Amino acid sequence: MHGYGVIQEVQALSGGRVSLRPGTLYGALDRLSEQGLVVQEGEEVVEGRLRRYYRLTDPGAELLAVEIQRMTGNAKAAAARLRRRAGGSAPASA
Amino acid sequence: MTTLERRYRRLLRWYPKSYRDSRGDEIVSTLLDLAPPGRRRPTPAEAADLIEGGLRCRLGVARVDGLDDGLAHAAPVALALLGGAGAFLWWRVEPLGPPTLGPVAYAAWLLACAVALLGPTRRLRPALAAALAVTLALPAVAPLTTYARPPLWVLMTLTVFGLIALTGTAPAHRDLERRTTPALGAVAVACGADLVSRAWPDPLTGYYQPAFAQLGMVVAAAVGALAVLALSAVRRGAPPRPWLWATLLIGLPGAWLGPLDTDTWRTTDLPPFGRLAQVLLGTTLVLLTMARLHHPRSRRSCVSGGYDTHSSDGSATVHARSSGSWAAAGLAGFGVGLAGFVVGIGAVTAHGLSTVAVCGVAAALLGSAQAPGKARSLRFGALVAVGTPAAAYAVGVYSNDWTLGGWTELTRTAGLASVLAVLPLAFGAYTAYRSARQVRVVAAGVLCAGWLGWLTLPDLPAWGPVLPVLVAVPLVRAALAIAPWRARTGP
Repeated sequence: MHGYGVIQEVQALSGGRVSLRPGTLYGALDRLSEQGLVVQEGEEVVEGRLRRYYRLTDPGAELLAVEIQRMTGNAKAAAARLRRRAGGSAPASA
Repeated sequence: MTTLERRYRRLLRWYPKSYRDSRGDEIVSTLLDLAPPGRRRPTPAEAADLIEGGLRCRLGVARVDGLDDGLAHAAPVALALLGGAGAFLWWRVEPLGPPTLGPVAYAAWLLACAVALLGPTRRLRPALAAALAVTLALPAVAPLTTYARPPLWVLMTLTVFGLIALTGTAPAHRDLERRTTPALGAVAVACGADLVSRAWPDPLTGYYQPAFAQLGMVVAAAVGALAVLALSAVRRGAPPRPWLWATLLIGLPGAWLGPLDTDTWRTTDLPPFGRLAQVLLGTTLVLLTMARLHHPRSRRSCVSGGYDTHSSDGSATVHARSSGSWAAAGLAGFGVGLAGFVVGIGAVTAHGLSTVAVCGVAAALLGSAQAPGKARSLRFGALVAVGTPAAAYAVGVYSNDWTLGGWTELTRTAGLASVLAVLPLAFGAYTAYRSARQVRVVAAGVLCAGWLGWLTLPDLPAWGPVLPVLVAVPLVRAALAIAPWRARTGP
């Protein structure tokens, strides 16, 4: 995926809440590249504009899986708390 | 090339050329892809994003291990100090003298604290940028009004804290802790400074003594707390570098606050240990510790070209040798420049001559232990020789009540100019320490460090709040020695 595609994808995934700006995006891509989490994979010129493509590496995918697991765990814990609260407050409000 | 593309490329000049060569076309293409049809100029948000990205790249934020996270740790502390210092100065100091434009800046920083607490995330960085712009504008605006500007020491400190707060604040969602930290911290800082001022033996008289020493005590406490957090990170097995960077970042302007007045116990004709000496000494010590902490994350940060740094033992030796020739050139250049200045103003004192002699001998010792000087280091020496009288003249203007000539306190001016030797002497001592493999280099290091001590240690009691800051520096180094940390592998 190229930089413009990443920005659009992030905007779509966040329901329009997060809009990355190019300076921030390429700073992050620099860091991810040097940590070996993404890698550049080809480039092309479309209508006079340079597009470089980036791909998630295997270590990047592994780290992403770990992060997803951690965030899912957090969300599950929060949901359980919310259910308990709802369960506890139901009789009081009844 | 369209007008919009040309304007984007102009903004891209904030990045180093090497980065523009490798990434410029890609960034401009993405910006053009994002721009709606008919747009002719970049939006302010795009401009701010590119300027910040360029500055972060030039300052090496992305390529230094731990600095990015360190800025994130330091940012809420800096904002708390800005809000607290603003409140203290507005509440306790401003009413004591003729009114200044200071409250405009203090209000802007307090507003930024309020935005951090209550406002939407997207408003915080613009609020910080606006407060910084207001602070920077005061010296230019004040002459157009009937109000004076606050002293430069206030504006300098606020500016650097503001830069830390702005660059360390990410445009990301903030939880309750991140929202409340700056505001609660600001209350603590203001109350802490007020408590110190009430416990102080001398009453507050205005912006100068003892106000900045009192504020400096609170900033020093914040620096000490960050140093303790760095040590606790080591104990927890967490990376200490981000906390070490945060300590030093806050310590840099922290070292500018103080000192106490030494007029009462200094009886010679030398100038007392003043703000100039303190700013130079504190800044130099913090910057040298930063240089020691600096650990290049990799050669590809800010993407290739022009940012390669040494990493192997062999190249490190070459680096140390080349530092030696640069230090020798700097010391020699300073000696020549200082001699020219004191002769020029007709104030040749034993103190000034001794400083010139020490710089000359140290330069000869360091230079003789190096390979023959390269053209670049020689040019550097020449630049220092020309720059030193200019800097000394600026010091003279400052110390003679901002007058351009007709100075009367020439001996004092020459003594203050000699204090500028703190910079080349510290550079020389540090270089000798890093590459002490020959007797001549060791001798040069001892000479530089000895004269540095002579210039500053007799006034040890006057260091005031800077002392805790300087104590934090070796503490930080100790933490680093306990746990040399590898670069993070996480995002």
